[in-house]
Parts: sequence; C-alpha cells; structure tokens
Amino acid sequence: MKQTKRRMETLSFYDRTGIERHLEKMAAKGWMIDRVDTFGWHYRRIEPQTLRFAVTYFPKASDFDPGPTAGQQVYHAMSEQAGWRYAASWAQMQFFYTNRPDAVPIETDPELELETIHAAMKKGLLLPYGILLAIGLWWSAMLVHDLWSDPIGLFSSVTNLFLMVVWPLLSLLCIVEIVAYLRWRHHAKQAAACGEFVDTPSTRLFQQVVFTVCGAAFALSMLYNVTTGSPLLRVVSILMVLYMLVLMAVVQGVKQLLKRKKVSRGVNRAVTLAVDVVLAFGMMAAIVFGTLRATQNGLLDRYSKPETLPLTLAALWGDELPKADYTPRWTEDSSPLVAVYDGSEWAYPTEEGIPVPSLDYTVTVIKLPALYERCRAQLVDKKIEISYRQIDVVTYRIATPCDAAPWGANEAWQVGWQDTGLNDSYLLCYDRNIVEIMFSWTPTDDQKAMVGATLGAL
Amino acid sequence: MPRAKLQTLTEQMFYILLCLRTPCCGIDLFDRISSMTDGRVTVGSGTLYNLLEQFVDAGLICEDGAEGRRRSYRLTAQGEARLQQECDRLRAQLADYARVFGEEEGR
Repeated sequence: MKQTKRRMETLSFYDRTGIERHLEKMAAKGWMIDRVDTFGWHYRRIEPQTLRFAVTYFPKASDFDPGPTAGQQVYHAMSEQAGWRYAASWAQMQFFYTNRPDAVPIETDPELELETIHAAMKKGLLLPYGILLAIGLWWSAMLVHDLWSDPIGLFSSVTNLFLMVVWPLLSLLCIVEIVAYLRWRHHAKQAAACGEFVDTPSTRLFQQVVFTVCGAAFALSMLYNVTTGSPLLRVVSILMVLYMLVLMAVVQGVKQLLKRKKVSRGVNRAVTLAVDVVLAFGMMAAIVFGTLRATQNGLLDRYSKPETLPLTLAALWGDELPKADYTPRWTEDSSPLVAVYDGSEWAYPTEEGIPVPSLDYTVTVIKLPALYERCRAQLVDKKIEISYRQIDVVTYRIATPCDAAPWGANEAWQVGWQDTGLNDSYLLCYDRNIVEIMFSWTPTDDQKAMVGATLGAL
Repeated sequence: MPRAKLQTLTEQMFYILLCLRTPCCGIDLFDRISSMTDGRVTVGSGTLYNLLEQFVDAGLICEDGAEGRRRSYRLTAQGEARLQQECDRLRAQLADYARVFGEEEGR
C-alpha cells in the first residue's frame, strides 16, 4: 500500500478556509500533509481520522529557510501548548492540526490575522503574480499585434497558437487571483472591525479549468510538432520539454539539498538563483549550438521531405530543362489552422555557361475559412517594408493586378519592388490557397495553368 | 504601524499586558490569562505570538530571558503607562455609564 502521495492542488495562497477544509478531507481519507514544493503537495498515510486544521501565515519565513526559524519555533511551541500540532509549512504558510474539538483557534484577532496574511501575500502572491501578469500582458499584447501585422506567421505556428491560449489565460488567472484577494481583504477588513472573521473565497474551479486548458494546449501542440514537424522541429520540441523538466528538477534539488545541509536562507537563495540562471542560459545555449551543429552536419534536417516538391522545374520545362544539378528545398510551417509551405529549386549555371532556371514559391493554405480575409490582406493589401540595414535603403513591394484566368486563380497580381519595378513574381489567390511564386523566366500560359493545378489545389 | 494601532487596546491586548506585570513565559500566558478571567478571555497562539512581537517592537514589553523555545517577557515602564492610560479610559467609560444610569435611577 502506498505510504505517500503527491497531488497538484489548485488552492489560492491566501485561501485558508479552502485549504483547511481540503486538508480535513484528506485526513479523513487517511492522508496527512507532509510538505509542499514545486512538484506538488506531498501527503503521508495516517489512520483516517477527524482532525481540525488551521492555516496560518508567518510573514518573516521564507521557502529558502533550512527549517523553522527561531521565531517560528516559538510560534510552534505556543501552538503546541494550545493543542495545535505543526504539520508542515510552505514559504510563509503554516499548517497545524488538532484532534481537540475545543481547542482555541490559533488566530483570535481578525485584524491581526489580516495583517499577517497581507504581509505574507505581498511576498507569496502579489509579487510573483504581479510579475507573471506583467509578462503575460506583454506577451498577449505582442500576440495581438501579430494578429494584425502577421496573421499568417501567427496562425501557422502551433507554438504561437499555444501561446495565444496560455498567456491570456495566465494573465486572466493573475487578475482573478489578485482581484479576488483584494475584494476579500476589503470585506474582511470591515468585518474585522467588528471582531469577525470572513471565510476566504475559492477560485479552485477556475484554476482547474485554466490549468487543464493550458495543459491540454501544451500536450496538443507538442503532439502536433512531434508528429508533423520537420526532424529539427521534432527534436527541438522534445529538447524544450526536457529543458524545462531538468531546470525545474535541478533548481528544486539544489534548494532542497541546501535546506537539508542547513545552509542559511541568503546563501541558499543566492546559490539556487545562480544555478537557475547559469543552467537556464547554459542549457539553452547547448540546445541552440547543438541543433545548429547537427543541422550543419546533416544529422538534423530543417527541410522536410524535399522529394515531395509539388511543382518542379522538370514538370514545368519538360525535356527543355537544361541539364544541371538542381537542389530542391521544401519547408513546412503548419498548424491545424494555417499552413505555409516554402518550395524552391535552383542550380549553379552549367559549365557550358548555359543559364539554368530557378523557381521559388510559398503556398499559404488557409484551413480555417474565417482567417482567409486576414491572411489575404496581409499578402495583398499590405506593403511589405524591406529594410536593408547595411546600406540603409528602404524599398516597398508593389503589386499590379493581372489576368487571373491563365493561373486558374480568383485574383492575380504581378509583384516587384518599388526601386526595381515589376518582375516575374506573382501573387495568386485561390479559394483556399494563396500562392507567391517567383520565376527566373517569364512563364508561358501552360506553365501558369500548371501552377494553378498544383499549388492552387495543394 | 504598531504604535498607532496600539492606541486602543483590545481585550486580548489588555490582558496580555496585564499578565506581564510579573515576568512570564509566553507559553504560560494562556493559563495566566485564562485563570485571571475565569476562562472568559482566550487568546490564540498565533495572535499571542504576533501581539508579543508587536508589543516588543512598540517597547511596551521586553524579553526577560529565553530558554530554548520558551521566551519570557515582562512589562516595561512604557507598557505600564499604556496600561494605566487604558485603565483611565475604561474608568471614564464606567463613570459615564454610572452617571447616565444613576441619573435615570434618581428620577
């Protein structure tokens, strides 16, 4: 029979009422809280029994303390004298229990309790949630900006879709937690003036929904990347998951080890932070450097399935294609909503000096019809600013409508650059696909029809 | 700020200070308060710890020795003055009460 148990609890830091009720239910089922850390709430098996729990806050405590501070020990001794046994603590939060139904509550002054909760909350919730909210809002703003400036890039990346789910939800979670706490504090202060305690509100269900959605979004995005991405994307996705797990495990391990070694709070905090920073940057550098080297050495291919190029020079030119060593390239950025396929084929000129054709195209497949107009607007309506920083020249893309019929498209534009004029580049809109294609020659009507039949229907 | 907050003493604060007229260990204050008030006033351990901390910070009491997890405290002159002030306030309240109800009985 299992003697220990670990659970991820979605209880607010200040929700003393909810935590007490929860621990009482766990004790009734035969589980006593043992400790709380990054990986969850740990319980040990006890005889099922009816116990009263009290959650109190000790603002001067820290999660980096090697054990209860001198002040906490006095606090615990006093509580023991009053019939309350110390069970565990988590940063500033302390858990006590008693089997005496008549034991005097640990907190008998509501105003004083509010003070200690608020002092603990500043450290335990308001600061970390404030930082998380700032990061979440910044990311959300960036994603909203991308929604207008680069919807194709945004919707064709599963990682971006995951972030679009996670950051707004985490921001909302922070706002709900902070507002719920401040509202409770407001009511509790009024009640405390009359000597009354107020139960804390529970956001448990909301938190469970948020974490379930985030977890599902993470699992789905990982699954999609690993099953459909290029070899490079698959490896990077797996490495990033390992990166986070290793980072959490090592940081938590170092902190716990130093606590067991009775290292002081300040040293523990400094060493853990240093390990965190060094490891985070070191491992990220190793992943970037390693994958780059692996890509250069051909161990990992960022170009997926070059043999599946849907439109080739050979198909367009037939027997007239000059003999050369053509290199095909094919990359995919795809999500369940939008996919962007980049294909190209080129070769060095032949030894005889015969020019060889080259072909470059991008096919944007909009799988969700509702996104079509936004993606079309990005490619058609927007002038794309290209900045050549080295020579400090800015040029704009220009697009002139042309006959769509030969392409079998709904709309067609010939595009070029403002300073060089139009060239053999075209932007073609089909029912579902938008094709950008660049030829090194002027295509014939047959070749245009072939583009429509292959890329337009991809 | 503790000093501002301690301008008016709650019942729990009053009896903690009163019981520290003679040095006493924090842990033993539970029994001392309980027997002094015949069990009418009870102080929770968390409340007691935090109030003792605040009283020390405000200079109303001082530590009078420590033995392991047992810390003793005693009332300071400042604490005695604060208690006296509180007693005067309570006496004034009682006098007001007696005057009002005395007048009613005299009619």
